[in-house]
Amino acid sequence: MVDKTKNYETLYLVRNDINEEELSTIQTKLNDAISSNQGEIQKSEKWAEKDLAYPIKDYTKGIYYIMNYKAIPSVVSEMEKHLRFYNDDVLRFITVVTDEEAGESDTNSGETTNEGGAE
Amino acid sequence: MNGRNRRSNPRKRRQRNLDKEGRKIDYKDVDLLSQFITERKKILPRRSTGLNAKEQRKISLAIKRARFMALLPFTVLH
Repeated sequence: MVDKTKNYETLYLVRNDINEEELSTIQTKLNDAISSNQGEIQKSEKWAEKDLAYPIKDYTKGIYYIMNYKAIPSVVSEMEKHLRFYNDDVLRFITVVTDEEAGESDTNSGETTNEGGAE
Repeated sequence: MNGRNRRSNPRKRRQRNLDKEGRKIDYKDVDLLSQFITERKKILPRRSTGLNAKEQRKISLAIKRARFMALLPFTVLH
């Protein structure tokens, strides 16, 4: 099976007291995971700083970062490996397929979740 | 026999179509999703939302994603 590139969106939530260095390390790793696999980053930015709807690991505030990219499916697992590795800082992440032409129901695939931990 | 005469009492079905409103269903759109949950943060049924099956599915999935990302609560805290 040939791997087809898809448009993905990854939203990840980091604790609000994360230090700059740690954050940029994570972001570099994510960028590398995409570009070293011929992926193409369309957007990578801070989405919002919010009060969480419920506390996660005792954090009541967090910062959301969003990335939009076009890549082959294996890139997603690569990225999430990094996000999972930094699970002290990254509280939650989610990846969804944003293509619409591939039948609308396809928007729903490609969802992956971090550890549960909801309280 | 009780449930039978529902039809003889036709209530107006208020329909809602987000596609016609030109609004995309996105799990990050907290304002939109909030319209489809109850005070106790439960997902409203189709009979209340008036959405078609397809959109209801998308809304309910989007709400679940938003909950996971702590954008929406699972429940009101007691």
